[in-house]
Amino acid sequence: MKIERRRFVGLMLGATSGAAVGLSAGHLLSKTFATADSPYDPPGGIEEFRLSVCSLCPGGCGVRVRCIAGRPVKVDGNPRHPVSGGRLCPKGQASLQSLYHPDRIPGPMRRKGERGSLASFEKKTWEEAFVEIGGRLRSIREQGKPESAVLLRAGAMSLGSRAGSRFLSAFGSPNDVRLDRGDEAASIALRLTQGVKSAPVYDLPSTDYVLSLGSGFLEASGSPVASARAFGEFRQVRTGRRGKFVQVESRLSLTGAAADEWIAVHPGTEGIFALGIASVLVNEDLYDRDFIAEHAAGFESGPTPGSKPGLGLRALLERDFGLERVAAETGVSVNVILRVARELHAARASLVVGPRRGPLLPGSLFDHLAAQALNALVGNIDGEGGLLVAEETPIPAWPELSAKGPGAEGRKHSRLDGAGQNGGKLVDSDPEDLAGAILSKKPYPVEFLILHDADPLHSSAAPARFAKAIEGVPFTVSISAFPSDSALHADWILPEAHFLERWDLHTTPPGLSFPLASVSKPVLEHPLVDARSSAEIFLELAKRVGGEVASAFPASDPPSLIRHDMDGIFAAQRGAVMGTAFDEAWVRMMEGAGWWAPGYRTAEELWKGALEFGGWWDPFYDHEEWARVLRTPSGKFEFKADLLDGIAKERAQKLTAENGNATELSLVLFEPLSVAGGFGAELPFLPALLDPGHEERWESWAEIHPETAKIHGLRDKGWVRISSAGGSIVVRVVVTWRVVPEAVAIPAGLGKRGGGRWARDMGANPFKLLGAARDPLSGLPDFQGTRVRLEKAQGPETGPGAMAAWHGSDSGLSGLELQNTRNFRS
Amino acid sequence: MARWGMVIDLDRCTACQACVVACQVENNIPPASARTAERGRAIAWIRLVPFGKGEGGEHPSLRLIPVPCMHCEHPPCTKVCPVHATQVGDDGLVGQVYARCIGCRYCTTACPYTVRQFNWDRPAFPEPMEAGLSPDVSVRPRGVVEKCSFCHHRLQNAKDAARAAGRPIREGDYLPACVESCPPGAMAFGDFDDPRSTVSRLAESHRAFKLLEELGTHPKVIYLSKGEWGGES
Repeated sequence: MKIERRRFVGLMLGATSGAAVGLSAGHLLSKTFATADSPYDPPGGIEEFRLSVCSLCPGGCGVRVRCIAGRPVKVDGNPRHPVSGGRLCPKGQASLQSLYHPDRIPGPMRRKGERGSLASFEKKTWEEAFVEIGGRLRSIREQGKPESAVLLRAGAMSLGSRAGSRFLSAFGSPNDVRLDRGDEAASIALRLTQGVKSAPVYDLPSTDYVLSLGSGFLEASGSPVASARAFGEFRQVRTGRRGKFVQVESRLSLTGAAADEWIAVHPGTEGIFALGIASVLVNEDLYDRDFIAEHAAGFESGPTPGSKPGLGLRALLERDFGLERVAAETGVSVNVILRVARELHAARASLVVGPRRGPLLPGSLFDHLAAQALNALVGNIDGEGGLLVAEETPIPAWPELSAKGPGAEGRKHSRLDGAGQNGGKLVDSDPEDLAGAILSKKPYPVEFLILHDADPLHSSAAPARFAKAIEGVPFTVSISAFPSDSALHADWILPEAHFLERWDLHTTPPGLSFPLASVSKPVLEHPLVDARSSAEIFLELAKRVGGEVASAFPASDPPSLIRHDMDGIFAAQRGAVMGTAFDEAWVRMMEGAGWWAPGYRTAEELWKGALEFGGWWDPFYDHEEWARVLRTPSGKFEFKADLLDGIAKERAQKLTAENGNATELSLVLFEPLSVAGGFGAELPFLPALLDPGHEERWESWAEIHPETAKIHGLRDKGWVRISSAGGSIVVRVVVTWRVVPEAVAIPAGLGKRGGGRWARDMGANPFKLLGAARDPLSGLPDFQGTRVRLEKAQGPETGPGAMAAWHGSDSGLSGLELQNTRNFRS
Repeated sequence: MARWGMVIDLDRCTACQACVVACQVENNIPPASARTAERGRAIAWIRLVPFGKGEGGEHPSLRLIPVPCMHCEHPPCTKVCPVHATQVGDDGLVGQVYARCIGCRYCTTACPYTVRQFNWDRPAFPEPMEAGLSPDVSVRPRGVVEKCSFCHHRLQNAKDAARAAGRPIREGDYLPACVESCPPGAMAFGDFDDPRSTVSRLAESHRAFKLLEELGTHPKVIYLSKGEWGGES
């Protein structure tokens, strides 16, 4: 018998201590060491680095993948990529767990039994899938009702996303609905004030002072790595300058934890605080008079060129946002408001960031409009260190769709969700109303639903309504890599290839100023499971439908489609292949002087360069190009004081109604980076990262102020039932001063019933608490206005958290560790 | 001989925890489960430790400090190991020899930073996750202690590459996975013996401080922060 050294020493130690404390302990100890050896011995091989683009969130980070003998073993940022700059967020770092995930959908699956369980699905071939789905689509079109097909999508601006939209409109449906609307409120604010339809870009690296109105820009921005890199530059100690950062919010977020100062306000009053600051700037004459005089409209009351006469911002601020009143409503002292206003003015460049909390939490339009007003008052619109407007990537248009035929007829129908200007809404997509339309079958019934990367049963503001709606749809196809809650309710699940397994083209993510096109080719030659990219799926479906749908694409496979788009970028005659910091400075300098020095001469050279280095971009930004950044009817920045006034009145009425019920609290939702956008709990490295500020891991929790906890008889680590008009959930209690007494804060992103072995039944989904209420004016779901009641609960309803009976009794090393680490500085 | 060390600028850190996951992937740490996490047995070589301040006070704040192994110059952990499984190596890195470790856990108790972790469970990588394992780092068996190695295997690779190129190892040749990944660029790594290195320059900042300096461990991880944490206090 071979006795290894470790086992020998272990046995000896066991014997010694066994003699000391009794034989059973010694026996246990030696047993511990007997089976010690690891069964894993990873094989070596040739090392290679290949480029790709992470698409676990819309951030679009260029990545560099380390492969050993062709197997990806590590993902890092691509140093030449302008979004990632060689860095990567925890989700990107964990992305190999989504590639090698044991619960990936193995191939096309057809449901044959009850909805909601993977056991009800059987594996099919792609041909079988395309025959049935293609046949179904053809027959819908032949019956002359192509508008009854609906596409609900989420995620990155990828090739698959564009192919899906294109497929749907060529097919003849106007119902292209987006589920993740994190940028929507900010975009609407920009559209109203500047006439530009895009998310605002904050020039963080060049600014000196940031006032954030509850924004989660360091946790879950449109592109988390780009935001974090920008923050790093902002914080860099330059000669005599180091940016100051003030966070205004009712729950101290991780973004707030990185700030120099947290100003705690009553829930939902961030915008009022901003207008209080605005009124100080106006009263003390600290605003940018030149900008207001030349480029702004609606500052003073009365008629302005190009718009209706109305209330001016100055009059509104004087009438309704006096210091005393703002102080009373926000709970912030007059002195603090005055100080922040003066700091904002005194900084060389200052920036006010709107309240976007995450990919699913857009913030209220009122607060975004207030942020816009402040940005205009300090005169930073389109200035260095100010608020910029993104430029679109010059991707060429795909062939024009025919103006006649069933496709054109179908597109003329009104959208089912009533979104967009034709529907009289400011939002571009309204998935909750789509669910309503599916249920009511009005204005017309839905025959066919495609879910692309979208999980409305978990990540919409109306999960229960969607669960009911999806049962009423005759045919649902889910394109998803994981058995998400919604995929498990579909008729077909078509597995999407991982980003390391497919061709893709990503354009500029929201929140970045420069146009870019990241090209990625498969890192793995063959997908690990029988999966295909969504672009391939839509192209194939288009072929199966045939006719004008098939000819709506300029090429018939993803690489040719990407090549077509890159040739169009070559024709735009600008920008350069992604390069080093020196290359970037060079291109900027040359373009600033009116030259174009791309380093490639032919479309072929651009294509090769893009494949070798990650893609194409144009780093040059032309500041104060007023015709581009101010596209309102007046050609000026419009303050929209009348809209602010209208919303303020509506909110005041609501508040008065609520004040009658003092036992209710405001629900504050937030999205931890690791599960933002409704994806992340699937990958087992991520649920441990939800919030390093306290010990809660792998479960949902509610942050409750100590005073509030006392009133409701709740203790730390106990359980609480949180109920609203919309529903109720049970979560762990965390008693903390990080939230104000009038609010209760809960993370979104957990509470899945699907999603594989790790995500399943972990935590609770707070979107179940949202009612039917809408944010005034924008029409977005009211993510910030829900009122909830607290009630002590015995334990969680489902999931691994149900093991809580012994919580704290057998915490092993962790108790000691925590105790030790907490004493570091005491 | 170099003296490798790290500087972490807390004013730039956003607490995103990319360092935590980058380390776990690089060093073949098995995925945890809710059960192991709940029992405090999930392994992370670097983690964020919260320091709240001003509870109920006027200016409450929360600091989250990334804590890897400090690779102390006078490490308390090496002195208590009965089998010499942990020692200070030639490069000043505190190494852990898994094959020697008997799992007595004296070192986890001795370490004042509590960065040493014990493998309570057999490592398990559900099929096909095994394919993502790096051949540079051995998978630790149950019953041994492990900790941050400053990605020592990367130092070996960097030394080999420099030797092949016939030049000495240069700044930037060798970065641990956490430093490479850090999105806001809050972490710097290099040779404290080289007065021109980035870490040496940063360590001279008035914002610099060390954790539990008073114990005389001489940690080689230095933090930068303004205000109450840094040199201004």
